[in-house]
Amino acid sequence: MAVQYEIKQKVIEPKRLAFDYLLKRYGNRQASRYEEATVDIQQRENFHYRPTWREGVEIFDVNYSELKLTDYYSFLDPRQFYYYTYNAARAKNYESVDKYFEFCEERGLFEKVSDDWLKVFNRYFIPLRHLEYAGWVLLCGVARFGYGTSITQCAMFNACDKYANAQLITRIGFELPEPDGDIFENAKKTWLEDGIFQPLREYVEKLLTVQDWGEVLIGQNLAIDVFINPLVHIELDNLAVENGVSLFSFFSKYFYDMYKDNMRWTEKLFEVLLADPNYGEKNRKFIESKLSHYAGQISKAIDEFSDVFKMPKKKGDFKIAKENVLKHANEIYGKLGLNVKI
Amino acid sequence: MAKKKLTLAQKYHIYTRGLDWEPTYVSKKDIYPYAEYEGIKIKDWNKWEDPFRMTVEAYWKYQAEKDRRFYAILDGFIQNQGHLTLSDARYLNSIKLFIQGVTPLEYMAHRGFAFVARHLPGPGPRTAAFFQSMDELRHTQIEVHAASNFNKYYDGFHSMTHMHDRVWYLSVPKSYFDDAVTAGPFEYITAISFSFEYALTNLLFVPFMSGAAYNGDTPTMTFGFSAQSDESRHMTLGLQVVKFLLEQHEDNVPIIQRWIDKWWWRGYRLTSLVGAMMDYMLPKRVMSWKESFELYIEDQILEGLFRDLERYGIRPPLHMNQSIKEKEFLSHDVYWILFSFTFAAAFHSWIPKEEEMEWLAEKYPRTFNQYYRWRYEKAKEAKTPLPGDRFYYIGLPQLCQVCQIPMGFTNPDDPNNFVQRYVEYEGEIYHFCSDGCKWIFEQEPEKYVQAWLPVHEIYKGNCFAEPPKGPDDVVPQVLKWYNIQTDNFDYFVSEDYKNWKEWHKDMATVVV
Ligand SMILES: [Fe+2]
Ligand SMILES: [Fe+2]
Repeated sequence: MAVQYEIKQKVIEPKRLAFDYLLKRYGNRQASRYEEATVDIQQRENFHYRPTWREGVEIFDVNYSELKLTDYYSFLDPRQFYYYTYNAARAKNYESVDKYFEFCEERGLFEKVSDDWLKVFNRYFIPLRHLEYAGWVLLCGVARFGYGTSITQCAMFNACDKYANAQLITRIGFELPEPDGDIFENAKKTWLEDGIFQPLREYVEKLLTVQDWGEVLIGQNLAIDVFINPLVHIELDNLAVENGVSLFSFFSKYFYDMYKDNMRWTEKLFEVLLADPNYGEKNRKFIESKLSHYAGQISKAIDEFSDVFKMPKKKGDFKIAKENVLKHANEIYGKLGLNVKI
Repeated sequence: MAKKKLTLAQKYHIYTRGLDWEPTYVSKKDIYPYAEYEGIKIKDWNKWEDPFRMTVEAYWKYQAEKDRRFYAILDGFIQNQGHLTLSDARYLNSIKLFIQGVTPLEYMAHRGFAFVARHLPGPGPRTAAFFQSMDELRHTQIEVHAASNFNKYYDGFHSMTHMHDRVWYLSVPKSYFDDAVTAGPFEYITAISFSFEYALTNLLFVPFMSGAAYNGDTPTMTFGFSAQSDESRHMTLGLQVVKFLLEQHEDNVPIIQRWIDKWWWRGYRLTSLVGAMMDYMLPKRVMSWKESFELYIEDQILEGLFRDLERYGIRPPLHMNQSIKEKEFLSHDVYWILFSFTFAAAFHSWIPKEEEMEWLAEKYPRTFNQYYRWRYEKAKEAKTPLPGDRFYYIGLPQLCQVCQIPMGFTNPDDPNNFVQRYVEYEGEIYHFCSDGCKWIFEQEPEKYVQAWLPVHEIYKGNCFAEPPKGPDDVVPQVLKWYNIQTDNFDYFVSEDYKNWKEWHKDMATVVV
C-alpha cells in the first residue's frame, strides 16, 4: 500500500533561485547547469594537512603557477562544457568518425593507400600518437594543480581529447597495411630515433618536468598545438592530396576541429589572464617570456620536418608550409595582444 | 604483409600503455618525482593487468547515453514537482548530509585521480585512474544538479562547498579526503580505490540508493543506479591495484598492510554518519546499520575479500574487531551527537517517534532500550532557551584529533562510559575517540597535529563573521561564518516542516 498525493495544479514559489554562492556572484537569478556544475566547486580553505609530496604548498594553492587571477572564476568556458555536455558533444562528433571508418572499410580504401605515401605517413603521422599521449599526461597535471574548477575542468576535457587523439591515430594505424612490419613498433622507433622527431621529443620530455601548470599550458596549448596542428593537419594533408591521397583529409579535419575547439577555452583563459586588474601585467611578462622561449623552440623543432616534404613523388615546399604555420601562430598571438619573438 | 591477428588485450595495450616511452632527454624521476618516496617498489609495470578495457571513444558514447537518461529523469522530476511526493520532508536531511559531506569528496576524488593519472609512472593504472577522475567529476556534477531543485524549496542545500570547508561536522569527511590527497600516489590509490571503493562503497551506496527509492527520491535513486557501472569499474581497479602492488615486491606487503589498517578505520569512522542516517533519518527505513554491516563487511569483506588476500600475506584490518564490537552502538552514538548539536548544523534532527523507537529496539535488542531510549525521553523534557522544545548540548565538544567526530563513542565493553584515549606528543595532549584513531595518529603524528579542528579554531577566534559582542554572541557569529541561516534546530520547528505542511494541506491524500 502506498500513499499518493493528488497534486492540484498550484505554483509553489521557490524559496531561492539558486545556490547562495551563485546568488552572491550573479544576483537574484536562476543559474545555468554549467554554472552550477562549475563555479565555486573547488575547495578553498581550511585544508587539514599539507601535501607529503611537495613542500610549502596547500592541497589547492594559487602558487602552483606564476600565473594568477584575482578571481579564478572570472574565467568561464566559452563552450560551457560540463561533464554531460562535454561527453554528449564528443560522442556526437565521433559518430561521423565511426561512419567514415565504415565507409573506408567497405571500399577497402585503407589497403589502397600507395606504398609510397604509406612510408611518408608512417614516418610523420603515426608517431604523433606519442606526442598526443604526452599532451594527455601534461593536461592531467593541469587538471590536478590548476586553480578553480572552471580552469581545471577545461584541462580535464582537453586531456581526454588528447588521449582520444592518440587512440584515433592508433585506430587508423590498425587499419593500414604493414608492408614493413609492426606499424606501432616502427612508429615508436621513429619517435625515439628518427631525426625529424628528436628536437620535438626533447621539448616534450623537458615540458613533462615542468611543475608550473600555467607554463605547461603555454608550452602545450599555445606552442605545440599551435604549430603542430596546422603543420600536420593542413600543410602535410595538402601534400597528401597533391600526391593523390585524400583518404586522411577527413581525419585531419577532425583533429583540426578538436584543436580549434580547445583553442576556444585556451584563448579565453589567456585573454582573462592578461586582462586581470591586479595580475595582468605580471601575467603578461611571464606569458611573453615563456612563450617566446617555447614558440621559438617548437618553431625550430619543426624545421626537421622539411625532410618529410622531400619524401613523396610530388615534393612539397617546406618553406611555404613553415611560413603558413608561423602566420597562423602569429595571428593567434596577435589576437591576444602578445609580443612574442619567435 | 598481412595484418597480425591481435587479441583484445593486445589491442588495448597498444591503445594505452603502448603510447608510453622511456624518456632519454630527461631522467624519468624528473617527470615522476613523487613515485619513490613512499617506499613502494615496482619491478615491472608491464605485469599490470587492466581491470577493464575502455577506449575514450567508447567512454564518451557510454557515458553520454547514461547521462542523457539521468537528466531526462531529473527534468521530469523537476517539472512534476516531484519533491512533493517524497515520503516526508524529514527524508531530505540525509540528502543534505550527503550533498554537504559527500559531493565535495566526489570532487576531491576527481582531482586526486587526476594526480594519480599524472604522477604514477605506470601507464596502465594511470589510464584507469584517468577514467575514474572523469567519473568523479560526473558524480559531483550530477549530485549538484539533483540538489539544485531541492535547494529551491528546502533549507540546507544552499552552500555546500562553503560549508564543507567550514562547518564542524563536515570536517569529518573533509579531513578524510584531505588525508588521502596529501598522501603519495600509491597510498592515495590504495586508500580510495581499494579501502574505500572496494571495501566500503556498498556499505555507503546501497543503503543510500535504496533509501532514496523507499522515500520517493527519484533523482538520487537514478543517479545511484547510473553510477553503479562507474562504481564497478572503480572497485575492480581497487582490487587490481592492491594485488599488483603486493605481487611486485615483498617489501610492499607491510606498507600496504599499514595502509589497509589505517584506511579501514578512517573509512569506517566516516561511514558512521551513514549509520546514523540509516537508523534515524530515513522516514522509511531500508535495513539497520547493523544488518548492513553484517552483510557488506562481515560476510562480503571479511569472509570474502580478506580470505582471498591471505595468500599475499595480508590480514584483516587491525581494528576490525573493534568495528564489529561497536556495531550495535555506533549509529546510536553518532545520531545522538548530531542530535545534540543540531543548533549548529545545516540539517534538522528530531526525537524518533514512538514507532521508530520500537523499530530501533527490535533491530538492536541488546542496546537501544538499555542505553539510548532514555536519552530521548529525557530530551523531551530538558528544555533549553533554543527553538525546538527539547534538549541541545549547548557547548563545544571535544573532538577526536584524527576522525574529528566529537568524543561520544560508547565503550562496548563498558557501555556506561565513552572511550577516551590520549597521547602526549611534543609537549601537547591529543585526544582520540578510539584505539583506531590513536593508532593512526601514532603512525604519522607530524601529519595529524596539523588538523584543522573546528572546535579549536572557534576557540582561537578563527570562525567568527564578526567579533562576538559577548558570550551569547559566540554561537551566532560562528553560525554566520558557516552561513547557517534557517537550516538548523529541530525539524518540527523548521521552515521545511512548515512549508511541507502548507504545500500538502489542500492536497487530497489518496490511498492506493
Ligand atoms: Fe564517485
Ligand atoms: Fe576518532
